[in-house]
Amino acid sequence: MTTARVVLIGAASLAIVAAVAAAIVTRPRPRTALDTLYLAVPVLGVVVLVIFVAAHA
Amino acid sequence: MTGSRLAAYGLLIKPRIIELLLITTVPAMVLAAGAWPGTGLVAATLFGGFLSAAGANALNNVIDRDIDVHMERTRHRPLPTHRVRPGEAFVIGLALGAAGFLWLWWATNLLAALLATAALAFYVLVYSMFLKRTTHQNIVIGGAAGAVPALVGWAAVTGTLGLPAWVLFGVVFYWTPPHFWALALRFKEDYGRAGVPMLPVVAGVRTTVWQITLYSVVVVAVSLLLYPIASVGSVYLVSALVLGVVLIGQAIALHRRPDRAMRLFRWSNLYLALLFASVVVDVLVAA
Repeated sequence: MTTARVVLIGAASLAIVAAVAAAIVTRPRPRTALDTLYLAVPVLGVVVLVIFVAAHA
Repeated sequence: MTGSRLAAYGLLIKPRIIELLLITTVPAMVLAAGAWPGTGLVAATLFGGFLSAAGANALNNVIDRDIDVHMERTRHRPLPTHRVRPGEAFVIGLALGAAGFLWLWWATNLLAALLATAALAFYVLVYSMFLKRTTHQNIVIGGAAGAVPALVGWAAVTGTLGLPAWVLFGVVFYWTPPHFWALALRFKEDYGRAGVPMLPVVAGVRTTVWQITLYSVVVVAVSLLLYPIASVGSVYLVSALVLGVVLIGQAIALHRRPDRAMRLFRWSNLYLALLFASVVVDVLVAA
């Protein structure tokens, strides 16, 4: 993997982690337990995507 | 059949939404093939995708008719105005969905047909009937249905699902919330009147604008992940960066002027179209 690709994956991953963390911190107050469960879908989805991309790049 | 009745059937399938769905299919096909996959296959896949999406939209009209009648934006649709009967729309939706499945199976492969039909089922049974009415995370989860055409396009060419297809899926999935929340900001009162718990209705404008901004950052970051794992080059990378900076800039601008949400809504449409077009250009230039 070239340095440019490592840097790109790293920068994209950092941006995702920062944005997801901020999205969790600033999330609207859950109205039901399901609201919290639903939030896990986009969070886990992007984490899995980053892991797969890093592993396959 | 009269012209106005025909026009009502045309509106039932929400043709503008279908346009956007199809925009994401062709670039996925080009990326999967590493070249133009053949006009016949592209046309066949688009036609099948059109049938499935049209079926989903017709069924959505049936389910949402009690909501649509309360919203200024939707109360002129064929069902609230009684130009099409619910039973009629239901049959049309089912027929289109079944035709989409059979067509895609015959013209492409079973995986593409199953994916398109699964998206229809998810959109109708999970999003429209349940999520939309019960949670402010409705469009976050429901966005998965709109992201499936990228998988359909990839599957139509390869008969499998590769990682680049999932990245394209991720781009559309994370693009959907900021796109729809911008619309929901504009029509906040409409959604509130209809009792739909869209994010601006239950959490307010400030929280919504923050969530739009953060999801925009995620979209741009996910779009950049395509570069290391797919056969795309600098045309795509530069396009993704430039378009992404503008998208995030538009989202940040909303903090000062939330009344300009429709500007972001329109730009987000253009963003997705141009980003996916850059995939096509990049692959075809290199081929």
